[in-house]
Amino acid sequence: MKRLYSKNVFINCPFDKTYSNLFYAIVFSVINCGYQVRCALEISDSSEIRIEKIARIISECKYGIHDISRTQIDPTTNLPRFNMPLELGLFLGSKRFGDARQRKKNCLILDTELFRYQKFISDISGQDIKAHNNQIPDVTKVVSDWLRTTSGSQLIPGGKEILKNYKIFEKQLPAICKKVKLTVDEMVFNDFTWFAADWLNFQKK
Amino acid sequence: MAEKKKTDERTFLPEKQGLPIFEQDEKKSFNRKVKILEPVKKGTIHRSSVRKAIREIMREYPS
Repeated sequence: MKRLYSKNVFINCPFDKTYSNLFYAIVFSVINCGYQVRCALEISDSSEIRIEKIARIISECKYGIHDISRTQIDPTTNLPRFNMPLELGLFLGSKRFGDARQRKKNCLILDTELFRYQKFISDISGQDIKAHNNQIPDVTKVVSDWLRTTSGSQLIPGGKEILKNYKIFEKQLPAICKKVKLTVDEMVFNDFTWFAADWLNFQKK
Repeated sequence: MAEKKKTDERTFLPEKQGLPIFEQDEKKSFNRKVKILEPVKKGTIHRSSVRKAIREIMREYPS
């Protein structure tokens, strides 16, 4: 299992249940485009300080996908969620102040609607932000468009092809989990990445 | 002459079937697909079990 800086994509998204549909669609799309997904869920080690872990993973990734759409007020605390903007800041900071390798970083910033972010994070107004409208077809399209453009690879499939694959995979996932004596709820992030990568490799045969 | 015409009719030519004609290089890239990379971290299920499960699912639900 090689870690290739130029093939690693850091995912900075919410990990709660209400977002999981979009999260798994992003992860699947990145794998389908021929890249490796990295995120804070890949390691479960309580002895490692969370921000250190995130900074280390960011330093190992040339690419990043940052979804800042879930910055709304938490109903229980009445406070907004700042984790995603903080991690976006870390990523942009490494690109700005890091070594030559870090300066090659490239990211995709997502929100639900275009220009909405200007009301809560206006400092990034100069960036080109994409909208996913909370829709899986939009997610597969923006991820594919971005990776095809940024990599220059002509082999990366388009959003519709990825969506077609994801729909079949999603339908078969409960059966795959059952075969390995898991439920979809028990499946951890690293299991999902292996299921998706192996499933896509079988599709190619 | 009649013999030659017979052979031409039997030969499958894409242009005769109304199909696009590809140059050799185009054909090559048309069939190439992106390489799916292995994830960086190990999963909690043994790799061979995952592959076996997927193989069985593919057989049960041919897409």
